[in-house]
Amino acid sequence: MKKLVSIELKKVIPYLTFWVILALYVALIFVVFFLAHTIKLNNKLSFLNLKSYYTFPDLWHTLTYIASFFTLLLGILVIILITNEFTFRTARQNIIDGLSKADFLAGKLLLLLLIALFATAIVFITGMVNGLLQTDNPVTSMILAKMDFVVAYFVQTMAYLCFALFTGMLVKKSGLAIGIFLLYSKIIEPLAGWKMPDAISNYLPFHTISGLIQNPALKMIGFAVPESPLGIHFAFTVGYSLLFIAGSYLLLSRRDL
Amino acid sequence: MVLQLVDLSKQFGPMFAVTALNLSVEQGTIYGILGPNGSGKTTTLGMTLGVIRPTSGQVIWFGQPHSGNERRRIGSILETPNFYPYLSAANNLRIAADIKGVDYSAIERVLEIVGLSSRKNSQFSTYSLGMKQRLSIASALLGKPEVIVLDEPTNGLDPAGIAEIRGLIKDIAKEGHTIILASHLLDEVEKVCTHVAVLQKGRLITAGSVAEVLAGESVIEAGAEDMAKLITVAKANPEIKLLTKNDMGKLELTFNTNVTAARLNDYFYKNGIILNHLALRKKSLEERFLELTKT
Repeated sequence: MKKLVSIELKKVIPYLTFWVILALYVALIFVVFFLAHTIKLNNKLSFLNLKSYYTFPDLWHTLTYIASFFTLLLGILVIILITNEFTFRTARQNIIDGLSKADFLAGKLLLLLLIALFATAIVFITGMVNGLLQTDNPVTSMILAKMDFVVAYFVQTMAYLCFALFTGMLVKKSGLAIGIFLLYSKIIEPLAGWKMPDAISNYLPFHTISGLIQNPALKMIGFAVPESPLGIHFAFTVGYSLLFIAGSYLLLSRRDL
Repeated sequence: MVLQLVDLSKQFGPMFAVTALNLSVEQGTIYGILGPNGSGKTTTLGMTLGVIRPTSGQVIWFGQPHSGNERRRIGSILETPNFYPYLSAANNLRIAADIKGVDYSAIERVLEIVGLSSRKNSQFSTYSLGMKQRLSIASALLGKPEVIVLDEPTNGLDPAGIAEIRGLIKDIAKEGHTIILASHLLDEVEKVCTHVAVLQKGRLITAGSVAEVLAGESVIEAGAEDMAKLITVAKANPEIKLLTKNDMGKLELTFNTNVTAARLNDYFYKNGIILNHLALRKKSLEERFLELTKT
């Protein structure tokens, strides 16, 4: 396993695109979250108590929800990294050199894991810094109270990345794969879901994965928003991730390279 | 036995790229797989290296069914050199070394062999085609593999590059590696290989030692004032196997036995014919190849 990680790191560390996308992700989270809590409402809306969204413990919910929009960038990064292996025909060369197809996929999954852990760490650090600055008298129990959203963010990110991995394996061409990834997640699934009964549309892959962390602002207008993300969506998200991994393995093992 | 193919077939849709191929490669040989473009050479090598799934049949490396681990004992290039364009040559080879479980100290040595030491820190994308080709040979040499598989290693190179790569292959063979080389160039197979299998449209036409398979028969061209008489006299000689008239109006003769030009000249002279043209030449490999692949 250590060997597989070392191989994957050798591929990405000198790769400029890798760092540019990660830097963009970090910058967006920092900037957007710092800007978000400087929003001032006029007096008529002051009863909404915006401050609670940016202090412990609700901060974790707000932050992970905002961060989930930028996970898209990491998905695009994963698609680029996977399709590169087909464009450069290095997947083929890796196999010829003696890597098994299962090892090749395992290496990619470990890389996905590292990217998801990195993203989670960035979210965690942003949260801690902001929370400690904004919260009056933060105590440990307050800080930890809604930390399960951070766990959920990690699982959600991993699920997005597994979907990106699968798309990359399926399509093999970066531009096309990114197009399909965006088209499916932003247009096809929402449109298809609109025509379906809720009992089905609520469990389509993207709806499930993005539904893991729901918009906390909906509370303001009286919607019931789950106070913990670890429910049925969590199980489904893990299930979809495993499905994407299995699908990727099937594609890799059945196809000629 | 290094490699054995048993009834190996590959079907792409309705088309058979390789049909029931049986081959065995012995230790220490330089084995050429010769065939025109599209004859199934790369497909065959792809199946032996686990990147193309056979439709049916078996690949047996080192006497064991294909598992994947044995590929670490094989150094291969298939078609084009495949590397990460944004990485330096040395970093590309480090990835290959990691996969093969080879110590990094081997990298310097293989770069030295192919003459790329001075450019090892340049990005792969800045390399010329010849350098790319040499880097892939360097990669194939990592860890002193027992077998080296090369697919069209001189494709697209200039004459100097071709000569260099061929020299390199022979040097490698001297170190005791078994080499399997696919090529559409007869001349390359003849110059480099000890054994050859000829493929056409995915079928094995013939296989054996290069001397046997590509043995060029001698042809003697003869001409005289009176061609009609020359033909009659030639037909009367039981040693002459075949006679045809070529485009130049000369008679081409092949023989059942080893006949020298002098003996033939003597034979015609004794039969009252003065030859005005007599030339000995080897039947060209192209002719031999066309002959083999005609059926």
